[in-house]
Amino acid sequence: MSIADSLLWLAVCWPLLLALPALHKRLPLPQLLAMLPAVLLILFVVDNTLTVPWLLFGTSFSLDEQTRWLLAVIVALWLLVAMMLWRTKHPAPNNYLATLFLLTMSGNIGLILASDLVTFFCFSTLMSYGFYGLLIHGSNDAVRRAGRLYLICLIVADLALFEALLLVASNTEHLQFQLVQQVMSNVPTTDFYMAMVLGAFALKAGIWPFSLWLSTTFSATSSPKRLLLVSVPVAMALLGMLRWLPLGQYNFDAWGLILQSIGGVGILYVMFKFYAVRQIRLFPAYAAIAYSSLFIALLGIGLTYPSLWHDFHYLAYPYIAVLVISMVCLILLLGRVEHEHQPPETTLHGIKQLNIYLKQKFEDFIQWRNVQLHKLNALRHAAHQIVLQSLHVMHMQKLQRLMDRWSVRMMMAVMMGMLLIWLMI
Amino acid sequence: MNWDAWIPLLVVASSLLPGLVIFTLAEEQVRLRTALNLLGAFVKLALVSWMVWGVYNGHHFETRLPLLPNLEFVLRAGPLALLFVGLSTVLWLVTTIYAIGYLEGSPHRSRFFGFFSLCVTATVGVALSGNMITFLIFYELLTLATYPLLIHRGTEEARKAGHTYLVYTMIGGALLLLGTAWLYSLTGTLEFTPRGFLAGLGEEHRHALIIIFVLMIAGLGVKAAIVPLHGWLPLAMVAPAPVSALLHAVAVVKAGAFGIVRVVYDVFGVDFATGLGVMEPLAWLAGFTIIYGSLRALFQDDLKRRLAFSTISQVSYVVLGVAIAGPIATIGGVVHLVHQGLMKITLFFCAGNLAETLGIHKVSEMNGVGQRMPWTMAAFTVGAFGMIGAPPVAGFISKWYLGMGALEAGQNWVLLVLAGSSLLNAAYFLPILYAAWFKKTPSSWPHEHDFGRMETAWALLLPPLITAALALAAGLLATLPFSPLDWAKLISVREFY
Repeated sequence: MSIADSLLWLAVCWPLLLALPALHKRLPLPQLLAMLPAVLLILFVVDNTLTVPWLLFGTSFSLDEQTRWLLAVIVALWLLVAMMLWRTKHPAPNNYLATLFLLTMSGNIGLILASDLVTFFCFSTLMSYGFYGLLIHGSNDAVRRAGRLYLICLIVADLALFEALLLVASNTEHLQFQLVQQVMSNVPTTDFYMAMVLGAFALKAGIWPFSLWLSTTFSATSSPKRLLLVSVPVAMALLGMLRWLPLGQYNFDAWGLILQSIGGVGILYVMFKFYAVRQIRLFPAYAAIAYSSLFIALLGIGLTYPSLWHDFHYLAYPYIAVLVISMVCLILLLGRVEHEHQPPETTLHGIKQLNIYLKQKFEDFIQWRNVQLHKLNALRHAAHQIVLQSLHVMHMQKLQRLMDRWSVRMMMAVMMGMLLIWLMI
Repeated sequence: MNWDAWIPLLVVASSLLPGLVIFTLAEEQVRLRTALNLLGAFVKLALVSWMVWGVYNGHHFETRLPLLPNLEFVLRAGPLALLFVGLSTVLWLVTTIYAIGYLEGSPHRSRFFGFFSLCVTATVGVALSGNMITFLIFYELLTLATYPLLIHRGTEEARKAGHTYLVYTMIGGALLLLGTAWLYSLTGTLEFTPRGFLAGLGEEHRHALIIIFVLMIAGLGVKAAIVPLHGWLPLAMVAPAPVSALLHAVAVVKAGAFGIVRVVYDVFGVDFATGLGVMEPLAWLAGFTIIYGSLRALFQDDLKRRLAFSTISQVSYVVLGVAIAGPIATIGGVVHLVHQGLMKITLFFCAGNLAETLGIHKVSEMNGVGQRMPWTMAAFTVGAFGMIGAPPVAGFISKWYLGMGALEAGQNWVLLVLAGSSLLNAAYFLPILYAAWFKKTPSSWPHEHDFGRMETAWALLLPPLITAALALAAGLLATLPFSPLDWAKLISVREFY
């Protein structure tokens, strides 16, 4: 086994091994130590594949240029979360947090490095259940309720993925991603396979209409876990779509259209939520949904135009990395705003102060929004006057009523326009 | 008779003889009893390992003794037999260690371990039987050896459970005997033969053969706890934890499921049974049992009762795999004999640990128990995830092959059953894990024993850790030679190619 092979192997197994409380209790900074092989892998290995034929049905890991960058972003995120979770002077003497953290991280790294379906599924399961534990560890009832919703989605999604796996295995013995994409693009069960895969990953990524768990969980949980929430399940589900779907193989018009529609509606849903939402801390969650929706729409275009996918598929991995980076920045920024005005002790007074601060910021935002709306109204009014004066039409009053309701109709016109453009493409 | 011809008999005797000696021992002779138990278990393990190696390399192990005119007492070590014998032998050793720790200081231990050894003798006999009459002898011996274990505590509840068990299994045994006798009158032989021995029978016997099949499956279905013949199993959870573990993972329930496999493969033959049109109803019955058992488990607060209904559901995976009637589904069904055994025995050991150490019997009492007994609950977690079918635990491998087999045979409805069962398994196992790991620990436990620095006695802790590791290894190392999956593939090849 070469050094590169060993690093690939260790990047996954070392955090898994350290997850044993008996081991990580005896080591200093086990969370950071666990990342060491992954960091070395990112720094020194460019392109490598490791096959372990005796493990499960034959496990394989691979690292290429694109995976490497995504792994780097994810490892950096875990490093950040580790520092945030263990920065307090008196952390709770509870080993399960470290165990859950390391299990989830190992699942996350293994999932990125997996180059076949079963390995991906295994590490996805490890990551997802580990993350559920991490999410609800030491949390309040609200988080636990939200976690339950996540868990239900997770179980259903895993069942759908298992069915998809069976469909693949009944068609081919080789479960490497590239081979599966070729095989599953032209078999009688392709549509069922696509439905299972898309349903599963849409649930995991919290894509509209399955976005409720994401916003609910996001609203209830704390900052470090919020970082993982939008990055780990969401980004990894998008990665799953990239790997499982037969992209760039054949022309899937119907599926392409469905994905584009879902993506489009998802974006509109987020626009509406942005406008209507009353909790500033939920903005990153909706931003993540918007990102995912756009990703779905782009995948839809890729399914409709395989040649286009061939030309631009290399952008997909950076897109996921950018999603992670931008969400982290957004959450940290909002967290900073909260943190600046939060007293060191979490007292009732502190909570009240925080509430007042957030309320004030939110009122500022509402005020800003009102000013903008006022400007928009003035602009609209001016346009209205110009139209009235220039046209001199007969049915002034009727037109006025129409213009008063411009916003609703304009919105519908935009939607129709977008739909038409998609159809025309 | 050469040396190889004696080995199957020695395997049976390796638990029978220590068992008979143990009956004569006084209660105080703890060391001798323990030594005899462990000696028997290790000798059996060595002999079975020898047979496994031999069969893998093409050796033939068969003991044949005259019994009745035209009927012989036959013990034969084929691949299917060895899969079950291997399971029973390994788990007997582990359960013996567990039972030694569990029953420390309790009365009637010689009686308990005597019947315990007899129970394993009968199970191994059932597995090694080379014909239906030998099978019947050991099958009935198993009923009789298990009954005293079931009522070991001597409570009113235990006696009632024992009575119910006896009624069910005796009726089951009678049905099986009736089917066997009828079959013998038609064929003149009861010798287990790969792909069955009924192919030569004419069309005029079709109805008779269908009735015989129903009689035999009903007789075996009692022990396999197929709905509606399952009533005895939830009641039997009053038995001590080692007995429950043995009952659910090694002996009684498995003997029923194994018997069904034998009857379908080596009496009727898969193709012949499919031609009779009896396989599809059997598959539906198994599918119904899988969902029914899981649904009932969902509403049980008593931990062992929840596990009992889980057994009803899980054992029917074996029957389902057989009834789908294809080579891949056969692998799934047969390998689940072993996988379910490993996972379920882990869960019962853990349930026993909770009861013995903290006095916990109900799911509602398990809040925060993971903090108090982390190793036990870690083993329980592995077992529970295996039952759900989460990778890489052994249950995932079984479900994988069952699902693939169903697709291969064009029986897509099985996928729905598997998905539904996984969902229900998650619904009744995950709340337990949630309560154990994430809920607050109560200020006191119902009935706590102090074991010093350890969470419980080592004899109680070691067995579930071993079986949980085996369940994990059976999944992770499934493709290695001599793994349960490898062995199940061998059985499938023999049956179908």
